[in-house]
Amino acid sequence: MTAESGAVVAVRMPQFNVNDEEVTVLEWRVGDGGRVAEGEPLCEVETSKAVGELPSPATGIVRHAVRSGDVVKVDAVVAYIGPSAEVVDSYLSMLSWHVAAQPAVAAATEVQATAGAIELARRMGVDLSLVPATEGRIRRSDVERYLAEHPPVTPQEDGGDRSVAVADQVLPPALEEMVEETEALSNHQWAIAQHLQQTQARMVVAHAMMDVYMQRAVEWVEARKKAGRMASPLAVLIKAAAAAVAACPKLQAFRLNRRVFRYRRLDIAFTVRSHQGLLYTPVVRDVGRLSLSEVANRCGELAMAAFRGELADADLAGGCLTVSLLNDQPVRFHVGLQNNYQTALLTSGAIRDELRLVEGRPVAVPTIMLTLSYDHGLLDGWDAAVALDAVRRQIEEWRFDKL
Amino acid sequence: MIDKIRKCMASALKLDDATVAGVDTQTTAADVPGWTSVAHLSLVLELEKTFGVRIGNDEIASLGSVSAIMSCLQQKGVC
Repeated sequence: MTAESGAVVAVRMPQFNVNDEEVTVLEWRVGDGGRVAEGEPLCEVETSKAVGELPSPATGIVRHAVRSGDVVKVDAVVAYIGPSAEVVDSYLSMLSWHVAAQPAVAAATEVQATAGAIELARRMGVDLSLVPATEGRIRRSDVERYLAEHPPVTPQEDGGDRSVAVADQVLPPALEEMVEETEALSNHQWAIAQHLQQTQARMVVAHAMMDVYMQRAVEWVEARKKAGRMASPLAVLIKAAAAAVAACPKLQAFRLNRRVFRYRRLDIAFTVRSHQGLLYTPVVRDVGRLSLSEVANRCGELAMAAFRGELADADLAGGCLTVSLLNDQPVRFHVGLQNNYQTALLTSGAIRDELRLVEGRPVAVPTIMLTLSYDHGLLDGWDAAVALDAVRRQIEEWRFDKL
Repeated sequence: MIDKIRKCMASALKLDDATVAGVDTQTTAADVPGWTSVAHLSLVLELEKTFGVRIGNDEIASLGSVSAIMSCLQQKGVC
């Protein structure tokens, strides 16, 4: 394994002996900030039975998470390895609670604590001066006990933009023989996962669904294609989402605990999955002022930029809600997760033929199922139904005369 | 040029031989089942690689026909 590709590898203390729950780090063989190659000795360790070496699982720059002489639990992180010190430090910063990290570090100089305790306290935002020591100085196990008794509170009371602490998730021993660790998430995937975790911690997610007949929308897309202009039902959904916001203005706002913020402009994001499998949510600006054709063109531009990996920060910032269309896959519906600082996500499954009674006769009509995932802390089920019905009416009753 | 465009379409839009053989200068996205808005992005990348040109993001939406693709490539100096 190499950390040169950009990923940061957390080095965990392996279980050398079945009965050992703790291992002592005797001496680092690679200094903090030093370079190590995969397989080279990282540190000297002592178990209950012997002294040995911990080989490095990756190549790169090392950042120590514990000090020489520390006793660490099996599976505890003892070091991080990345392509550069900057990348590792940035990664550690991302893991930490930015504001709370400072007291933990400061407190560490005033109280006796192991490096493992300091690392965990910094990551979880724990003030070490509050942690009782059981054996003279505060150990990692003391911080773990403190965290069990005082779990971190999310969302933040002040609604500030802090990263959600990511608890150290340890593989249950019973699974160790049944699974093998594979390639970790890329930085892009990890950022999305954290982003969505943060969002879910902040809102009360509920969903409403509705079938929408797409006959006119499909005819518009086909007519546009015949004219040599690309389009997809996505543009129709984005324009219809603007109608939903008009019917339910709360969709243009979001909630941070009790505080509510409203976007000044009706910008709507949409999801793009690049050919490399990376997800992006570029934003179409001022949707209310654009024609359907202009929305379709803008979607094409932004989607192409996403495919090329050329989206700028300005293309991704803001957006009061997101539209996600999965019409290339045979799913009836999908329930997505809202983006941060948005209240709702409008998703659609594939267009399918549904029998509908027209003048007493069954007729196959192209249909989609829309799902509105919303923050129940700001909208209630009635609001969601009103919003969805506005989308439905916009799409079913639209006169798609301009290509 | 049309043969190279057909190859690009076959690759990016995952077309079978019969469909590719039916592609001519009158073909539009409406005539080719696999020519979706998402597949269109892959087609643009394939055209750029094959012909060594850069197609502007703002040109993408208007390239939904073979004649539009040919016209775009000719404007970029491809014969």
